Amino acid sequence: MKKNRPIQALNEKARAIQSLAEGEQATVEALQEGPPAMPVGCTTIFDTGWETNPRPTYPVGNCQSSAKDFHGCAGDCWWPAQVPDGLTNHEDFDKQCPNVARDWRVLKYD
Amino acid sequence: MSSKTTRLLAVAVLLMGMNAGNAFAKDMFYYIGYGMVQVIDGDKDAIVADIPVDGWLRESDFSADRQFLYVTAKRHLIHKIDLGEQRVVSTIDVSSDGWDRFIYGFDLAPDGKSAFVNLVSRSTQKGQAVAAAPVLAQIDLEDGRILRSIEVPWGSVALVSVNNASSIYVIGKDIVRVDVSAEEMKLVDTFPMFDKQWNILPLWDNTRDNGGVFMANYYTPEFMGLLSIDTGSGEISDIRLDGAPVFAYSVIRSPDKKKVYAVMDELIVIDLESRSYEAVLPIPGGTHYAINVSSDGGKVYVSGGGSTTIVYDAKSLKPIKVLQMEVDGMDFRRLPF
Amino acid sequence: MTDNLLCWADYRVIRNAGEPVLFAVEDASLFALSEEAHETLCRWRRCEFIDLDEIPLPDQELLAGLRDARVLLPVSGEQQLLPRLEPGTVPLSTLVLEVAQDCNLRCTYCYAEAGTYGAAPCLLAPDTAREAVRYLLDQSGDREQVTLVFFGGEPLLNMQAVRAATREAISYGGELGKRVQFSLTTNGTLLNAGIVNFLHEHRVSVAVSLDGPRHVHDRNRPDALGNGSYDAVVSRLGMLLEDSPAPVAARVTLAPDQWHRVVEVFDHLVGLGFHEVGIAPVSPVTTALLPTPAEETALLSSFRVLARRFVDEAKKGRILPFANILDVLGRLHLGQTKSVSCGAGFGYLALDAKGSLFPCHRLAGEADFCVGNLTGGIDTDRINSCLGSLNRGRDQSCSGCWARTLCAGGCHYENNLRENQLGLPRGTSCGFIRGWLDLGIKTYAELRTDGAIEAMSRRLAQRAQC
Repeated sequence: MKKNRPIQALNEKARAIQSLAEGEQATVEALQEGPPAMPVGCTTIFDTGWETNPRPTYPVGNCQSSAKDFHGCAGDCWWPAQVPDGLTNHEDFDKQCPNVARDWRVLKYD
Repeated sequence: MSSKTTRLLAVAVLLMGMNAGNAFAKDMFYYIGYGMVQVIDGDKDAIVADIPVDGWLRESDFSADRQFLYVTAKRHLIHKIDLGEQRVVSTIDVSSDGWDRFIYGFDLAPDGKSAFVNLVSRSTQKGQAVAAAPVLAQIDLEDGRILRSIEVPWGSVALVSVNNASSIYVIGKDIVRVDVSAEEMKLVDTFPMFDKQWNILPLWDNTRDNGGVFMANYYTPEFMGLLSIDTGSGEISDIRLDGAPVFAYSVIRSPDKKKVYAVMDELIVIDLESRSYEAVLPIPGGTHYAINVSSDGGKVYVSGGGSTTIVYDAKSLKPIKVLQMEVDGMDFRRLPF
Repeated sequence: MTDNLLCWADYRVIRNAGEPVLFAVEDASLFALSEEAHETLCRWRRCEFIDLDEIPLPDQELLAGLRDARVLLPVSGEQQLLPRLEPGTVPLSTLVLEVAQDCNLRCTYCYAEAGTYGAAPCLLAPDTAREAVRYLLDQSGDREQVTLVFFGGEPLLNMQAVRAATREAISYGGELGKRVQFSLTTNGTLLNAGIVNFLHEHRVSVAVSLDGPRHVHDRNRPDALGNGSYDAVVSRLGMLLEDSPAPVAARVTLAPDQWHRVVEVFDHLVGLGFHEVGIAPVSPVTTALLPTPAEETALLSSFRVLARRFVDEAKKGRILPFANILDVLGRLHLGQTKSVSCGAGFGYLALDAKGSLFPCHRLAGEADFCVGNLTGGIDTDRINSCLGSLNRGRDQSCSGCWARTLCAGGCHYENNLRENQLGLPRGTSCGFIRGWLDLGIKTYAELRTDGAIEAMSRRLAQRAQC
């Protein structure tokens, strides 16, 4: 959060309004510039438990958070659409629930 | 006495024992977790200390004198942990001067005062995002200052220093060799992987635990292979495995160099002589990221991904113990004393 | 005239712990102001029009900042109005099934006349339940996920219909490639192992109506013989809570003379193991249940205590499972504005046990609010006319209120009850609603300035989209 700003956005709407005025919409895309390559984006074989889970272990459903692979994906933005990204917007997301299998209820992720 | 105090005392005793010069290697394992490093005594396979560390941890490396463990956090912090005191003694941030920098690949330099890092960087200028070309940089561990750097290909994720750190291999789509022996770093060589359709995710660099050999598995459309880099000679070798590929995140070689253990949803045992899969055992509870082996080769550890560490008997491949870790984890490193 | 000629948008400055927080009404955006910015704002507020080019520095810079925040708007700009929603144009997202218009309890405050909604006790036929599920899915447009709510009366009195609807939702939803989420509100007295297995198997989000400790609950929720139901509920809770794949919530209703007990009630329910606790002041189904100003003040102060605790917990990285504050924080977090107060008739419908459709579960059984049936579908003109007659002129009476984009007129059922049945003047609950939203904004501002909101922001956003 930027300190000492005389008018500081608090909620998401305020933030969007201010960044609209400032024309700063491209920050998030920065890491994706340059030729498409690792590590920003992974192949399908490496992240089990997310898109499909053919193995006889939990989670049973598809596209559910996987207790076993959750933070590994969130931190490095492997699946930015499904978990908060740890590189740009939510670098301390893991702190609310550092043990997903035990404390997943805190996440209310369903 | 609180259990925490007991743990600390236990470790202090262990460390004193170490100085007495034990004939047999004793293993200490370090669980690289979320907001925490947990210390495991390899004799008892018990958690003996918790070291709070800020952020989600990724790379780790031990100092040559085994006094310190360096861990990277949130891809931009580097914490120095004093293993005797069991606490973080300093932290540096590679982001500075309006640049967000992200570490993908970390290797301590032999001088103990600097480290090599692979950095991706971005900034905002006049409301526009700017991404700088990735660099291999040598940074000062006191203050995070970049001492020197050289542009390297996009998509690199791991660094391996070879020939007494005269060269650094930067591993990504291909492996490029950077000569760092002179003041000016130079790209000297490329070992192709992308054109050979290799697909590799070498996020678990346990070169030190693996007898000085960097080892990672890769996949082609047809088979799984093992890439290894001997840090002494700098030789890159490649072992192609027979049989349908089994998916694994990370691998480690047995101390007798006869087998390789790999892990993802299964514990996989690979026989190096026949270059084939000897066993593929589903792991109760599912995916794990990291694998390690005791110095005497008797026990195999799978860990990370979730919050469990499972200890297997290497001979029978039966689980001996399941450790419930305090937090989820990324890696599981071994330091023999 | 240049684009730099500006006029003031509608806003309200709320002081949180002395710090000025600006709520811009049309956008529902929230800004923290420095004292200097606030002082400049107050000084220039007296000018109806501001020409930025004419303002000396440093005021010019601060006023330009307020323009960027859309607190000052170009005079030449067009006024942005929220798009007007038409019933029938919004794909259906939630259908409430009154599976049993009957109940084994006789709660003192029940708005559905012992669960019957004023008619003879009646159960929803399994065939009708199946037909209703197909209607929900057929009318859901391009939504990939819809919600089916089992309600009553007491829905567990008609498990046959619950099971039939669930099976149909899975098979027909599967055919259409849509996912159905289930939720069920129960008094908990009829739970058994078989039912709990079923609820767990289908990840049904269960809300148990439990009003707190025995002495509070039993006064509110006796059975037909007048005996309290607390023990019957609590003895069955364990199996429901154990290994539940979906969160289990406590749904509390309190009469005005119990409002000072909110904190005690909350603590008791969290202690019983509920994953979330939501507390509702009772609807005044009789004038005896109308609160005094002192009781309303007591309710707000109790909520203030819980909001304070929510902040303290959040600073330690924990979430106090207080549903009311989570809901309001979620909406404030996104800055959601509304042109209608709720989804009733717009993507949200209720079906009574006889197969008639109503804008919402609370209006079920009110003949004036019947808006169609499963065979003929909904009559959008009926929705417009019944909600229209209830809300005629409300836009205007709300137009001067700073909370209008957050509240949008309040609950249809509650308004109908107060204004048409009890004959009260409009706006008897507005003071309470504004007090609650004011508390929500202060709580949000406090969490935000301490950085505690970051960790829960995703959860809040997700909640607001439900």
